[in-house]
Amino acid sequence: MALNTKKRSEVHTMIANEIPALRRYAYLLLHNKDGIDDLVQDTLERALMKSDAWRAEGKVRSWLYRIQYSIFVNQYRKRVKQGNMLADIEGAEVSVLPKQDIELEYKHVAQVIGRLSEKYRNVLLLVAVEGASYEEVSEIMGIPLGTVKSRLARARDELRVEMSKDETAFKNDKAL
Amino acid sequence: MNKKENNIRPFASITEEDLNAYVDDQLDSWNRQKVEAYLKRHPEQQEKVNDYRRYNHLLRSVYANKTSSLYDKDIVPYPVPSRKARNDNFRTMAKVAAVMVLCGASAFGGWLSAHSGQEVTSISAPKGSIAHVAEPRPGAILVSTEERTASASADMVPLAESVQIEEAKNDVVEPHVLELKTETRENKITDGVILDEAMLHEKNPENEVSSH
Repeated sequence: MALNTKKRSEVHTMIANEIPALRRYAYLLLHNKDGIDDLVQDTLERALMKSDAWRAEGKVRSWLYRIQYSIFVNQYRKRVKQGNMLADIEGAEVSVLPKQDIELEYKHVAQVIGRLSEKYRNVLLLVAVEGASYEEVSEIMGIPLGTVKSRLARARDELRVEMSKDETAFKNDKAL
Repeated sequence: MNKKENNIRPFASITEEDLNAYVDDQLDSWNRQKVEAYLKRHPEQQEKVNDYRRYNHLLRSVYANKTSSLYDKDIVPYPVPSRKARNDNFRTMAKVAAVMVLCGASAFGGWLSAHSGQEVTSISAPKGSIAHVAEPRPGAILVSTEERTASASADMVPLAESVQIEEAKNDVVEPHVLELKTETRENKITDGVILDEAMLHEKNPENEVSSH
């Protein structure tokens, strides 16, 4: 059943309010600023087309994220190159960080997260950065709850192993 | 009983997923306490949990730094044109510009033809005709109205009505007809029939000047 004009307007406003979050999530998915506008644009187009189908069940953000993730998987995934976040991270924004050690940690984690497999990275970033619940991640990515938990555990484990390697290498370099 | 079996598990059953759920605050209070008790007995696991929390903080900081600039500028306007429309934007703007130029040209042409037509009438009309009288001065067009009306019916016609008639027939008046009408007007005045005030103005140019 189609929404009336007032209800449709409310849904459109809710969608518009989520544009910053969509841009942020697009960045998490793409790991690069290139393509953010296009991905968000495509998401908004599809969301507006489907706005009548939204029944106000759950968060509108989760619904939009699910749309955006679906578009990403079908149309944008090939654009993402493993580890390409590093070049983006190494910009002026990192240099304004207060302490050198913290800056190095930022770089470490940025490097390692860029090397993670996409399916692990997406789950980890949704949880760690977006603060999504496991159920929301399951809904957004269309995977079972158990898969969310196992991917998250695997992602963190890999992240820790890789971070330990980098930290060890960093300490050795510093000692030399 | 069943619930108790699900919730109370020996420490050995604490899994990596449980630790992650603990870090992400996805456990209920009972299971959270259970994990905390487990961590007290397993410092190496506590260290892992601390690392996970630190990674969460690092990731949030990294992405907060990167994405904060995404909010502040270039927010996509709403409603948003389709990407196809955006790609065709230049072509569309070119079309709009062309239409605007054409509209402007046609409007200017219309204005030009209107003015040039008036001048042609004034120039081509014989001296003493209505066209000559209808030079741009107040009362002129009213005079021609009165004459035509008077010649048609020889009755008194209200001023406003005569103006409407003149506007309706203004573009079909021919010079020789105008001459005849001029004679009619003069005849009427000669006969002592005053059609309206405009005719007095026409008859006495001084009045016309003073009326300005």
